[in-house]
Amino acid sequence: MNTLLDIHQVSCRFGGVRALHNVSLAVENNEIFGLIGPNGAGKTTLFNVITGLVTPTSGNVTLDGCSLTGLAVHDILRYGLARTFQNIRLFPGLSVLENVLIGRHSLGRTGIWGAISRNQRTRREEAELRDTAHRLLQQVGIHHHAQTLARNLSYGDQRRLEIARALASEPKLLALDEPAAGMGQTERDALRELILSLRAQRRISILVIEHDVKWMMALCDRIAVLHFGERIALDIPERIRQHPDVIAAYLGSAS
Amino acid sequence: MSILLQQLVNGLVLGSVYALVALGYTMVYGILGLINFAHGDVTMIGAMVALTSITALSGHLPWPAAVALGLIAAIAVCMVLGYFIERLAYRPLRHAPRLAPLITAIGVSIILQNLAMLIWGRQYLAFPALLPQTWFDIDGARITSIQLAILGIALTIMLILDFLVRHTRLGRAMRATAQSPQLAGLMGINANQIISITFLIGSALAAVAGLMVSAYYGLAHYYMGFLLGLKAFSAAVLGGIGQLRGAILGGLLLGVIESFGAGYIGVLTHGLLGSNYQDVFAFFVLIIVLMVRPSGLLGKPAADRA
Amino acid sequence: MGTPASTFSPATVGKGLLLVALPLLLQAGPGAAWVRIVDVALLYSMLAIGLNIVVGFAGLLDLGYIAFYATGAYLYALLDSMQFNLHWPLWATLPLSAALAGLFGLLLGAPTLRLRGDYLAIVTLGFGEIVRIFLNNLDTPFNLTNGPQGISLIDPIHLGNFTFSRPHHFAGLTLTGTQQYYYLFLATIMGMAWLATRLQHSRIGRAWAAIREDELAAAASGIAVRNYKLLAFSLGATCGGFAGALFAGFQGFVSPESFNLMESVMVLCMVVLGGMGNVNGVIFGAILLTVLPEALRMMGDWQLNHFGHIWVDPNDVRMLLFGGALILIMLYRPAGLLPSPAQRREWQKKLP
Repeated sequence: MNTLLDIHQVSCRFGGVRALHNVSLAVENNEIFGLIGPNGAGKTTLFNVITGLVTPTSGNVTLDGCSLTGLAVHDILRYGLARTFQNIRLFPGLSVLENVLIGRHSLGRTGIWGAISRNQRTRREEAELRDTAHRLLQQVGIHHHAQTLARNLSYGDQRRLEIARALASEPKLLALDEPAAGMGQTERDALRELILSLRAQRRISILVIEHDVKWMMALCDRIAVLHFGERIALDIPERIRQHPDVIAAYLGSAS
Repeated sequence: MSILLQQLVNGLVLGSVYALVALGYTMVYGILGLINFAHGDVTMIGAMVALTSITALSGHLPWPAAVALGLIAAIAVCMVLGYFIERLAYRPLRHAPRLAPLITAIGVSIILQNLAMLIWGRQYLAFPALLPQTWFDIDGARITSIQLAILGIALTIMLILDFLVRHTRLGRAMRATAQSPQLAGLMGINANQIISITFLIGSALAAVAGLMVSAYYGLAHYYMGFLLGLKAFSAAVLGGIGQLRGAILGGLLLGVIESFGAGYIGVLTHGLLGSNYQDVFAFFVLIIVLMVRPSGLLGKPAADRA
Repeated sequence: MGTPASTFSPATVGKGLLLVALPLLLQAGPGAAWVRIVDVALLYSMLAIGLNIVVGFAGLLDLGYIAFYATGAYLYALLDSMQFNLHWPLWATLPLSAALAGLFGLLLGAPTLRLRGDYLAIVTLGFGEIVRIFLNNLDTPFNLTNGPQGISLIDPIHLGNFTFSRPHHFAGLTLTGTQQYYYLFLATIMGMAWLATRLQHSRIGRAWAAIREDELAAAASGIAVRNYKLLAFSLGATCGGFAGALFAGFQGFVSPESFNLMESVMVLCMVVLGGMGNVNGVIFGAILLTVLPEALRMMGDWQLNHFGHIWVDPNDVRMLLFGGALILIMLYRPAGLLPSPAQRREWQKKLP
């Protein structure tokens, strides 16, 4: 296996607050990698560093050998990293299909001239786009809602749509920010099945942040644990469960 | 030297009026994230009401009493106006797309301007001199009694407001609501009430500023709120929008910039541009601030996310 | 989408014939003045189409839009009048006017569009005022704009030997200048509307919609938010400049007073009232708001006839009504009077 996402000694401070301290970890190809930690451990900050919302104070993030540090949010997607948001951010007033079409924006070539003339290349691109979008919707299981407004989907389906939109850009790495938050047990199980099947079908790597440790244990190949901005463990789920530092961190913070 | 000092005095007086209006913009923006386009026109209404009441009362009451009552009338009318503007035009749209309340704000602004035009006419109205025309001489610069009064009253109001926001329960509630209305609600703060109070305070300040600016220039006009509002908003952005002290600093600074700019633009451009360009400085300040330091002088630089 | 319109249903043919016959019918019926009113309505429609790209498609509030109209109008006026005794051909002035307005849009948008949307509103508001101040004052030190008097005796629009303001004979019909302008403006609008609709239903239009809906999610979907905003903003400005040049030729006279803030607000009203994002809707809005004041004027005459005195001057209440309409539409019918189906869905937001 070779490394896809390499987080190298990333530190991040906000004023006097040390949000991340020398965190290093690597996500392999075709791996489902989990990131857990008690509240305030720095998970969200690390996620924001990876996705370009926060520039780290020091350290570097590379994806497939290309440095992501300092890139604009929309450029990071072009390098092959797509994300979802903790509190779902869809285009609520657009249809489900349109949401996915927009997700594939970065792979399109149509400029002003193509849009106005609607030449053969544009028409071919649109047809390809729609085919792929429909296929993606089938894959995440909300194809029957293609014409529904995103706003009117159920919570679980909105999550699925957000994942479909992220997948539309053909990412190498899919980063999910608390995807199971606010879901019931059956929805969580279904979501886990979906993530596992996506990995199997699309041969991509997936990075997941989540509170639900039990759910993560059954999903991830490896898990890293953050505590007070430092990485205190990184291992396969079975050994994370017994890791003394991890137990101490979770018991100590009582969450 | 004395010309320089004179420009500085003129600038500070004008700037303190801008600061009062800018406070209204910044408080509302801090809490609602909304540019209250109608705020400049509320200022105009304040000037107009003061003018009408002072003129009407001056025959029956001693002059200082007439002025005081005129000011109170202006404050009262503007507060009522501010309260209802928020209730009717902004509150129903608090969760609507961002564009919606901006558009209703424009609507309110147009209505106020045209109502004023119907009531007070299209012409420039002469505003009576509120104080005797005396002046004091400081090192060759002349400061008139009205200038001194404007400066004194404005600074007093700002100090009171600053104290109010920093050290009282109401101020804490206002700051909490600005941080997060939901969280403030969880802590037992009635966000709607706080927003209403913010509009009431902002409108009262606007009324005072309206009276001041009209007394200073000796004129009132139904359209005066537009440019004043634009400048005050620029001042708020210059200081860092959402920051009370920023609005004060920005207002004073903009006043001084304008005063010096108008005084020296002819010299600087070798007579190419005259002082009739005074009104464009605020705008250029706004653009430059937005380019160089969008969070303003006192604002914390925010991550530029998109 | 283009497909249903291109099928020749009887209704489409009927509408088309009506559009072609309208200036003849107006001339024969209510009179030549109404042909002129409709011409003005068509000029406003062009502005509404342009502003709709900015406000309706990309969700950016531009309050100084009329400044781009002024830019186009003044450039045409300078290049085709006695001011400098220049008489450039239309094929040069028209694109130049549009391009200069577009360039102004770029220059203004570049520093401000990376900021939160509402800053744009206030910056454009200021820009509109600045342009007017400059137009008013640029008669010294060098007489560029002729100051508050404005520039008069502007050449009418002419293509080769065909001058639009002069009557011409076609197949036994005599068309007046205003009638010929009608056809020119109608053709322009159809072109603009077609372009706008094409853009709306493309990768570009989707990117605009995404930005309007959620800027951060749009960026995370790989959309270069700032570039697309800039594109919308300068395309809108270009349309404004184009319409401005036509206006200058049509009117024969431009002055700073034609480009005050209220004009910007008027065009915004047209877009909001007609239905943000819907090209047909905003054209409807533009026509409605141009024709309505004329109807109001008739109410003034009616008062004069019945009471011998004008109690409520329609000119005074006109803007009051527009301001009220802006608020009421936003509160109760945010998708406008004639929304597109998609837009109607989009604004159906749950209000608390």
